[in-house]
Amino acid sequence: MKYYFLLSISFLILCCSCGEATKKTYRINQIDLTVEGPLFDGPNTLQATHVIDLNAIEPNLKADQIEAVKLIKANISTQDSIGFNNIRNFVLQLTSSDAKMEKVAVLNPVEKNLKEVTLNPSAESELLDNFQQKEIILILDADIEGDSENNLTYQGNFEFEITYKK
Amino acid sequence: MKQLLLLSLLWLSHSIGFAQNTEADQLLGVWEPSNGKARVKIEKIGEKYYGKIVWLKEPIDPNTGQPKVDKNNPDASLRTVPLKGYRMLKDFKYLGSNQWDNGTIYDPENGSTYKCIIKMTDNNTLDIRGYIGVEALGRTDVWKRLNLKK
Amino acid sequence: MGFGQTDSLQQEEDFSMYENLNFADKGAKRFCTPKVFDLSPAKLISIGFDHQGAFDVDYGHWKDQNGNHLSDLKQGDFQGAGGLRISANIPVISKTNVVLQAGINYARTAFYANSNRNLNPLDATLKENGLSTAGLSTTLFKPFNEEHFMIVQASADLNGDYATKNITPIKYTRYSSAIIFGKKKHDRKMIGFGLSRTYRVGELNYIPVMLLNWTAPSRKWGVEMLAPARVNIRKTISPRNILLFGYELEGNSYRILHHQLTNGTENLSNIELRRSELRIRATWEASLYQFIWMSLQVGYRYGYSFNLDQYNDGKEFFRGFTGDQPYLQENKMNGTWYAQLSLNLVSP
Repeated sequence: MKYYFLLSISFLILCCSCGEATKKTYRINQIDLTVEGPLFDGPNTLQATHVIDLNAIEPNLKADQIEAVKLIKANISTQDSIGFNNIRNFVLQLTSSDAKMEKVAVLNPVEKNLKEVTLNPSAESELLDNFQQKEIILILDADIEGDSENNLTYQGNFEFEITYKK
Repeated sequence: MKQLLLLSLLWLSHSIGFAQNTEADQLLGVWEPSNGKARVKIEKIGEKYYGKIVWLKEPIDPNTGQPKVDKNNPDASLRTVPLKGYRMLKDFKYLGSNQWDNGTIYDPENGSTYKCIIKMTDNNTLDIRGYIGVEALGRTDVWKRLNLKK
Repeated sequence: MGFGQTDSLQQEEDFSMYENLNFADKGAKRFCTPKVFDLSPAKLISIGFDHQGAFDVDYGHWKDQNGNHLSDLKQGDFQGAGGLRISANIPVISKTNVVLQAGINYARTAFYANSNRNLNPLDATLKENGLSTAGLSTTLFKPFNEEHFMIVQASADLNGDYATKNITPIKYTRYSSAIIFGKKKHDRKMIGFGLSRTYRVGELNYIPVMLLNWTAPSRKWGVEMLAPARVNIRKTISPRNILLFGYELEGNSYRILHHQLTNGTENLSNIELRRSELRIRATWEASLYQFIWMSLQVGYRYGYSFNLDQYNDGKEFFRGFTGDQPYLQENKMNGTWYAQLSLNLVSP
């Protein structure tokens, strides 16, 4: 009797742990965010499209297994000699074809003499709907001082915390 | 004959698609809400339409002396986002019949986001209706198109 | 690569150019809005309860038309009073050049007392039936331009000693209205003056009104006033959390029908209770979730008027500030604390 009782309990525990949520980090590395010139004083919009690779999180992971997605890190870097000296602030948004645009990070003001900055992620934005699409668009609004004829490209490195059920 | 038919069909579908795109893109441009306190530029990202604040009548916060930021955002971590450049109209899709729906409008004055429907009553006039739940529980603001001074 | 091709983001613009723009339509006009910064949110739908603590009513002599008194001075004590208050105010037309709202409201006051006592007919109907008011209202806000506006408000109320059955007949509806002309100087101040026809003092009166909605430059304080009916000083803790301190004069004239009021030989008719209360209070309003707000109000209810009138020939008469027509019964409802809690859907 005791044996069957213990077996049932073990079985129950096993079943419960089958449905437990797993957290993993999804990285978008060195993606180019670009805008064509001429650029003018004020907010200019750089963007990049990224195709979501769910297999990178877990082999054969399906979109409907994902329970929550949060941006945990957003770094922007540049090769320009002036660094970010002409940038007043950055605002990062994320959108896709069938999900709402979410504001996910901000850095205001941007300090001088830097070639790499870390944006402050939003504590509350939820990106689940966006990550269930095939592609996402990253939109970086850069508030630029002064005009320029040139195109602008910055590199972005982003980390997302994905919570999913196995 | 078959090839001609196929070509005609292709041309027709392309034309219809192009015409629809032009109709939806009538929303693009710079608009002014009825109180004249801001100007909003509507642009397209992907297949959806977004409106961002490009001009504020009073751009400086009198309490801080700095450019206004989104200080009433319910998400405290986003309260440093500047209002100039702020996308207050988001995610609108063209439904046909001069209507854009499924979007939201954000009021920086109180940090509230409302469901929103946009109707173009004529080429230079928009009815922007923000509402809660059902369209009846809302308020319509009339926006007028702006052009460069000659 | 789908998205990039149909974007309109390719060309960026100089933001300074947005200063130099004209309306595409030559005849376009700007209008002022009915709000100032940080005004407490307008309630679209409200459900709440009002409760007053224990109080006494000093019932006066009840005199007939010849001045003969038909009942003695008595005091009735109530353990409390209160009930449901619900209202809806929906914008029927909501455009930049006109806003029209239609409203419906219902408020009930049950009076809790020892049911065995037998003081006088008014006391008896208060205990047995309580008082109810049900009304329709409409408010029009019409801006003329960026600065000047007009507000017109009208309401029709059915008030009486009924609960859910035996509702007062429609012919006893009481009508109120107000008209205000005002100026909105900037987004922190709107001021107006006008005239109202009102029952807030319990009986019909015509009084001037002043509207003032003002917010301090700090955005932490403000005034919301429709004097003399209602005055509030507002403390804005955050856009979703506010405190209000002030008063409101509530009142109406109630047709008393379900009674045993007699002059000794026959039932008296055309009896009106002139009820008016001055409520001095603090109110806390806060957002529970997005547009769902709660309101908690605590204060002191001072009984301004609780007299009975009898209409000769069934016709309403006007006493105003100077009339000296005698009351049928002069009563005093003594003061007590009160609290009101409501759940509200607020307007954009």
